[in-house]
Amino acid sequence: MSDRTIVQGVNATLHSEMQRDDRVVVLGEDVGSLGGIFGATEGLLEAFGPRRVIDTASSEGGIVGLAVGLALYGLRPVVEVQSADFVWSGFEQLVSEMAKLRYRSNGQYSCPVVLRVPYGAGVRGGIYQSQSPEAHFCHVPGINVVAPADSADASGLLRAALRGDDPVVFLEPKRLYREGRGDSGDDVVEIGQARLRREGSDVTLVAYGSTVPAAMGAAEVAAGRGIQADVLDLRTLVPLDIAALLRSIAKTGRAVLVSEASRTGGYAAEIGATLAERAILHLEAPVERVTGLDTPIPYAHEDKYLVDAQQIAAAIERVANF
Amino acid sequence: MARQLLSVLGADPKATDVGKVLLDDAQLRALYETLTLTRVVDATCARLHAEGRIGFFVPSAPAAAVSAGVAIALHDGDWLFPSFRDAGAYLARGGRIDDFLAQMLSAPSDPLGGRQLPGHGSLPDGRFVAPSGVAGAQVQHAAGVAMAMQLRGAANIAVAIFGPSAVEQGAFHTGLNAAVRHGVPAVFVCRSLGSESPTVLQRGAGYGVETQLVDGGDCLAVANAVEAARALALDGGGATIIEAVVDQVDDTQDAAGRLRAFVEYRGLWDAEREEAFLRRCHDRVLDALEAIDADEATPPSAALFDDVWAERPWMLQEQASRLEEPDHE
Repeated sequence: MSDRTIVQGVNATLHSEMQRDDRVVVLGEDVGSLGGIFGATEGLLEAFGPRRVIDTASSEGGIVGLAVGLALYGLRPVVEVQSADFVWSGFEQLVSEMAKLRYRSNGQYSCPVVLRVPYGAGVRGGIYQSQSPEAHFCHVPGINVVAPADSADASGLLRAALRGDDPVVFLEPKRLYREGRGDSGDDVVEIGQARLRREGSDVTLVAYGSTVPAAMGAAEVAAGRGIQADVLDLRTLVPLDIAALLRSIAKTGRAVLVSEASRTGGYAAEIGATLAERAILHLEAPVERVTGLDTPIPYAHEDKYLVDAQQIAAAIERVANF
Repeated sequence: MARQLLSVLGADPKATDVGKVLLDDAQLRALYETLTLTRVVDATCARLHAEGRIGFFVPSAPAAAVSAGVAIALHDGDWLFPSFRDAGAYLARGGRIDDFLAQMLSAPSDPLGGRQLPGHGSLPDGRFVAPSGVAGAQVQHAAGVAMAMQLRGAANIAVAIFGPSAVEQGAFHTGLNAAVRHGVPAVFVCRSLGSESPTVLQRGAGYGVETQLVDGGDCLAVANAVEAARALALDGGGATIIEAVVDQVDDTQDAAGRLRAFVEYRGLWDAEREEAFLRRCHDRVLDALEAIDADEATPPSAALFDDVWAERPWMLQEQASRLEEPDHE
């Protein structure tokens, strides 16, 4: 189907993957009869019954802990965390158990849990339903972290996550849930592969998840000013597609890194450090980050926190004209 | 709530109510052998720890009546999430002394590749899952595995063993909450000192699960409590919390001594068997240590870099090759 939103793509993919593999079970708060807080699990309970679609207590620590046990037994649990901001009570299980079970058992056990985490601002969620916590996940060895920006990638990456043997934090950009239309098809998008969404030889624009549309918009604005940008949608944050990143920088010599999360210690910093280590001889300008502020995300002033196309376009111009 | 302390083995074996003894002769003997073997292995590890060869050591023998009592009550396909005091359960679930000591010493033959702190062994065939360092995590995982058994229609249970500090942790409460909400076939065994406030039993009652207080120095009582909880769980009755009160000082001698008096009284054991079995235990330990000492294999870098992810991503490939270069930065 060629015109699904991200949330529709996730829903269709959960349906088809549950059909394909009876080990896949979905659990979370209100994922059953309500169909999930955003509708991503609609129809699953009716199609697969309460042994495959499980409404849990309102306790992320408990849900992630249960999922670890389910995975140990050989199932493939997909956990829906209602919002990234609620993941913290499950964070201990994620860091200490999900991420380490394979290692600490010397490969005797694995823990292929997929944690679906709607994240990001832009829906007037206020301080506690707007955060972009990807850097916290990326810092934990043993977990793949993905952040698709449209329906095709969300579906393809979800398939890869459900068919792989590693735990995956699957970041779904809330702001784009009803957008990001595309073909959710049957393709698998391999984890660890970026996508060059736009080609240009002057500047590399690195973005992922919720900021990809703004990056694409900024690239158009810049094009109007005679600057052509490569727009690299990382799609997977861990493991980073380093080859695609370095290939683009070798071509452009200039980089603008876009991330909605707070700046300090954020994922954009990891990309920046990687470029400093490996691409310094290609760089012709300082690397610029366009990120969220080092503040909580204020309810009434969300727009000021958010990264937009104008800010990114201004950064492109500065970097191009350095 | 069963506040009354469940016990089977009294100080006087003749006074034991044989109607309460549910294990057959072979199981009784095996149970006593496990307690004895655990004591020998524990003493060996204590010595190696004192010599500086084992970096981290927590005795298992004082907890062995609970470990072994739980282990013997499990059936094929049941899972056990132990604590790091459960060498008794490791040995009872089919763990080899060689593997146990190799893990304690992080020897090249350590089945866990030197990754885990000593005493955190794992037996996939025995469904004995390597404990984590997070107190109470085993409660959540047992609840999850029990839920999987329920979802898949398996006639099995998952059991967690933990200490009193675990019940202070969020993991205990979220795990128990989930177990109760979904009515999963799990059994939670807490070794307590009997002096906690609120008691483990009171906490369990607050969640509305079945509770049972047992004498933690009485492995037959522990086995009976687990067997009863197992039957209840498989009958759809949900989870049980068993509080096994362990003597604060040392139940080692007491627990083994009480069982020995009983197996001797039943004619299953005598001084001659004791001597022969102890000799066999010591020989097995010595043989294992000799083999470990003679093993000159160097642990491969795989031990460091494999199993973080299913396959090594480029970062780990790169980090591994840097480490392997003689003059890495």
